[in-house]
Amino acid sequence: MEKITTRRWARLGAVVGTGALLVGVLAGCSGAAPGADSGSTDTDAALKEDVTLTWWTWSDTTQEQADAISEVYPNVTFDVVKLENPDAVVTKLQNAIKAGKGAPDIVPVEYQTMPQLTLGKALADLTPYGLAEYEDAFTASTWNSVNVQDQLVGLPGDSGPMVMIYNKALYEKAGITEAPTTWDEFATASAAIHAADPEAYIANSGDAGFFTSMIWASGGQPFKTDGENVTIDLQDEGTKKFADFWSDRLNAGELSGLATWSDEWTKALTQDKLGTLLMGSWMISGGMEDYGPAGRFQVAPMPTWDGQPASAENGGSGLSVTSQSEHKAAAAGILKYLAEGDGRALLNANGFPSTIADLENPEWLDAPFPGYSDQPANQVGAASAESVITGWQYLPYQGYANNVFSDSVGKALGSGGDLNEALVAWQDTLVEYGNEQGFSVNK
Amino acid sequence: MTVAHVHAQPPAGVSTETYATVATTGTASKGGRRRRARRDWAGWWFVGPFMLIFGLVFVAPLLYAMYLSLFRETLMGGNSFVGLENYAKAMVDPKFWEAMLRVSIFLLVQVPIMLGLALFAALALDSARLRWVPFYRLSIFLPYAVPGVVAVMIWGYMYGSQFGLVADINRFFGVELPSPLAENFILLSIGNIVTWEFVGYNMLIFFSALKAVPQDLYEAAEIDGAGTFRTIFSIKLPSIRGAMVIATIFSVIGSFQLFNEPSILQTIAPNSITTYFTPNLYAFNLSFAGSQFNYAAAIAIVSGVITMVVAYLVQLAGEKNETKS
Repeated sequence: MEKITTRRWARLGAVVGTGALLVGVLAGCSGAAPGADSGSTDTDAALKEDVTLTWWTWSDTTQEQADAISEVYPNVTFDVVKLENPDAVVTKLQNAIKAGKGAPDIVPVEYQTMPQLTLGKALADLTPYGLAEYEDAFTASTWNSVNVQDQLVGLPGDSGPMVMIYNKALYEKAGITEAPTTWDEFATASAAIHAADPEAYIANSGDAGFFTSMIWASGGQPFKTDGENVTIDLQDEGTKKFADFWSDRLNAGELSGLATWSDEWTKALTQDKLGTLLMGSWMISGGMEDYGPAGRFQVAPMPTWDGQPASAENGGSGLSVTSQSEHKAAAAGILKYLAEGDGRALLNANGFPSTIADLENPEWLDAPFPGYSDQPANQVGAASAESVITGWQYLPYQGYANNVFSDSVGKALGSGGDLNEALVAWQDTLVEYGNEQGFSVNK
Repeated sequence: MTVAHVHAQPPAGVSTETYATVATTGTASKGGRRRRARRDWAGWWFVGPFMLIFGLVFVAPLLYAMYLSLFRETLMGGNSFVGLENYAKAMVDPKFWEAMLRVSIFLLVQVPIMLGLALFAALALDSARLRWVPFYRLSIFLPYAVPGVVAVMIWGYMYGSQFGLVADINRFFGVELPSPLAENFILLSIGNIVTWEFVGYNMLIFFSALKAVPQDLYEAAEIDGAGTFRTIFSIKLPSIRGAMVIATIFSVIGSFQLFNEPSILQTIAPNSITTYFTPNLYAFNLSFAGSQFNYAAAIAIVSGVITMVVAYLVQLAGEKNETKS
């Protein structure tokens, strides 16, 4: 015991202190258990109390919306955090869920990632808060998207029934005076446009989101989830139909390889080198005037296989409350406000609506768009919303699927080749991943 | 109970240090050992802050990654201990080895070119035949000061074969250059960006080493009648061998860690750059797109070990040559 001198005590203290500091720092990483939530489902009562709600977003307009809501509910203050894009929001949210804390109260979620985040237990079921009563107000396809595995995990925000936005002048230069209504006509136009100007293409080859939407619009339903059981068939009839068609365009050299939203892609649009955008209706008011003078672009329905209207959703997102939120009732109350009336108008100010009343509103339908030489373009989008093919499902790990799309299908799109073969390779990756992750895929 | 225990707290007004010093020297019989103990303690004061930071930012994450790599957490079914299974999987993962092969090729081709150019530039600046040396030095170094993200965006624009610089060259000369962003050329294009970025940095390492060569060596060489090239090969290059080894090791590590350039180019050439283009990109995508944090940790550790081994071999080779000469 003699060895224990003052110095040794001091040293011991320093060591323990360092250790404590380390532990403290590490503990700071793990944090407290989520949900000091009162558990009350009374949204009206929750909104009468002072509360600060954190709201992540990728949109520039969320702050304005939050300010407007605060005027209606003076007790509610919002802490709006803007992130780069939807992918960044998903990554950050998943990390917060994994860490056990740090998730916001309100978060926008793309329809295609709703299943993934539901599965990751990131989103709260909104049914107990009375959100389910709004079902009849929304289109079937968007309401279907926010209902995952018998839970209501979001409130539909905007929607993206697909439309074809095309460069009328470019088509006319190639002798195509009418927008193609079938894919056969689209193929004819494609060849004509590329023949008239070898640097011009009818479209670019597209990314994962485009590809899945096009499969959807062609009647394919490659992904089916029922609890843990997942079925993937990227060679079903609809998928094959689109893959064959797109392979032909690709191998004829008629598709531009530019990545959607890249600088070169923008230049191609502004310089009459890219003829068509096959996108969700949110693109109707998505700034097409930036890509050319008024009247250059027109909005047309999606071409179909048999001339009968058929469409799909492309993009679009809803608002969810996270499972970690300590103010679920208040957050759900805000979603209720945004579900109808003034609140809904606030959401609809930016984006294509998902509410039936708005889609049928004559004033909105007949509004002329100067950018499309006064075409009442919303009508095209509204018609598309009605012809969205029902029954589509995304994978419960769609984020991963879209990420590895470039390894197989993207590769084939880039260097030419058989898209069906690439789709099978994509499927193999997805089956292997799913089984590894504890699903029962194609078993 | 010991004396030290009783007097553990210094009296008021006396600092712990002073008190302890007095107390220790006071007990004379075991003074030798006490002094040694004091030396230890003083050392820790100096090393402590470093060790703390070292432990926090270096050892702790490394240990955590190792810990992570022994588990497998899945979306369904939770977390389970799997021992070395993740490592076994990495050993036979064709994607990982394809990525390793790719950065190895990159290393073997790009690093010699980059270091060769840097050496040439450093020798040219040191030759005393150039005017405005600071101007050239700064110009060559400037790309290093451009943030990597910006650099890749600049090059990404130039590489555009429909609207970029490549397109302009094609049109102006009436030629048809292959697209630098196509799958077959993308590695070359990345190598070009990295070379542009880091020639200046390596040039500066070489140049400063050259500046440290004693002037009398040159005078001796001159008296012996050595020409410019003889001076370079017999004096300058041997003198900066150490700097060359260091620069090579940095470049080896940089090659294995290739991430920024492919990651940013992916947004404009998504179909040419796979999610497993380099080991780092693979680990990144595994964890952030696939939520396979555990496997990503194993991949990161394996590629870290390989990098260390290669860097060590380079260092050994450098030292061996040094003893030979």
